[in-house]
Amino acid sequence: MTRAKVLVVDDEVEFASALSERLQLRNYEAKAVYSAKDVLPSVKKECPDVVLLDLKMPGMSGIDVLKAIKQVDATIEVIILTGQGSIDEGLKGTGGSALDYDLYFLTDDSTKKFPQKKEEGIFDYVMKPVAIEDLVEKIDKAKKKRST
Amino acid sequence: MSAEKELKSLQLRVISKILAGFSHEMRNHLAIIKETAGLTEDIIKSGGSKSKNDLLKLTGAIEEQVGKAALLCNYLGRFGHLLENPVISFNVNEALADLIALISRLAHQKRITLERDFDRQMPPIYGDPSGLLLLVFCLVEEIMTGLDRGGSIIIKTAFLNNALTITLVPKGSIVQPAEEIETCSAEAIQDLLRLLNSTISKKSETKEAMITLSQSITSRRD
Repeated sequence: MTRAKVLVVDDEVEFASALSERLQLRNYEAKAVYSAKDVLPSVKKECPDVVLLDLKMPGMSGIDVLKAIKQVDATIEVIILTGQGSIDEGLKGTGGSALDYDLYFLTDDSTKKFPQKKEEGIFDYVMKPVAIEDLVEKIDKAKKKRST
Repeated sequence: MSAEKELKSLQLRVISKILAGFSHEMRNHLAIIKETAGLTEDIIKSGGSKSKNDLLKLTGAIEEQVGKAALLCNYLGRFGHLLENPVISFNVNEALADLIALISRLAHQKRITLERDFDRQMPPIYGDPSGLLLLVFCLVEEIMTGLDRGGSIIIKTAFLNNALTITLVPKGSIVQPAEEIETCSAEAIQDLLRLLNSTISKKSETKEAMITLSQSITSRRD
């Protein structure tokens, strides 16, 4: 299986560019964009397998961006990046809610996991600061799911 | 719920919002530090073609980010210390500057800028910083819910005739918020003002919010 094409979307430029470069060093085809308006042109041009999406960017609803990505290509897997203490908190003020997206806590050895609602295409989430090996594992799983 | 209890509950809510914002911003700083340090390690391990200068840029970026995080900790530390005592002598400009720094991310999320226009001749005042900051937070939050993206709020302070005046001036388009956002109720603001033993006038025609504190605060200008 070829390595995934990944689009990192985060308004924290230093974070997104460093993460993108780290993924490139791991042989992923990674690119970073730093604003909502650049997401769709980049998705259309690059056709990524996986989008790492920060839900809280200034002046936009992350949920709207998520929906727009899925409209371009419903098979693109989206992994949510959040700097909030929980995904529910991360979704606040974004136009979505944990309930809408069927995201809920499952306690597994005190690791909080959020199963995705399949039709919405939220594959998984990662909390900031990111554990790179954990993220890479999730990207590979997302790519595998997309390929099947 | 009694007015006093409601006020306590409001204080807790405001402090919770400030702490949640701090935690979010701190996570972002830590995330940048972690990724930049991780990238430096990856480059060294891969034996790639990056120059010494490139690596120095990365370590410099880490140091800069640590500085930003430390500054944010300073703001929160000072804010916390101000709230330790119910009545103290404090500098209003400094207290407001700390509050603005702590809530600027909330504003940034809405693409609203918080600006200061402080009276440089502001004397130290003796009063309740907790109530004052709570009141300013509530009013800023209320204005933010009705202000369109790209707007700004100027926070002005003035000291004249032994009275401190804080004026919040919104700049930009006023919009109806798309969703109901919980802000402080008018009653809570009035209770807060009663507690501060002060007076408030909201100039609705100019959308400005003005707080005038002249009775409960004793100027210590020499």
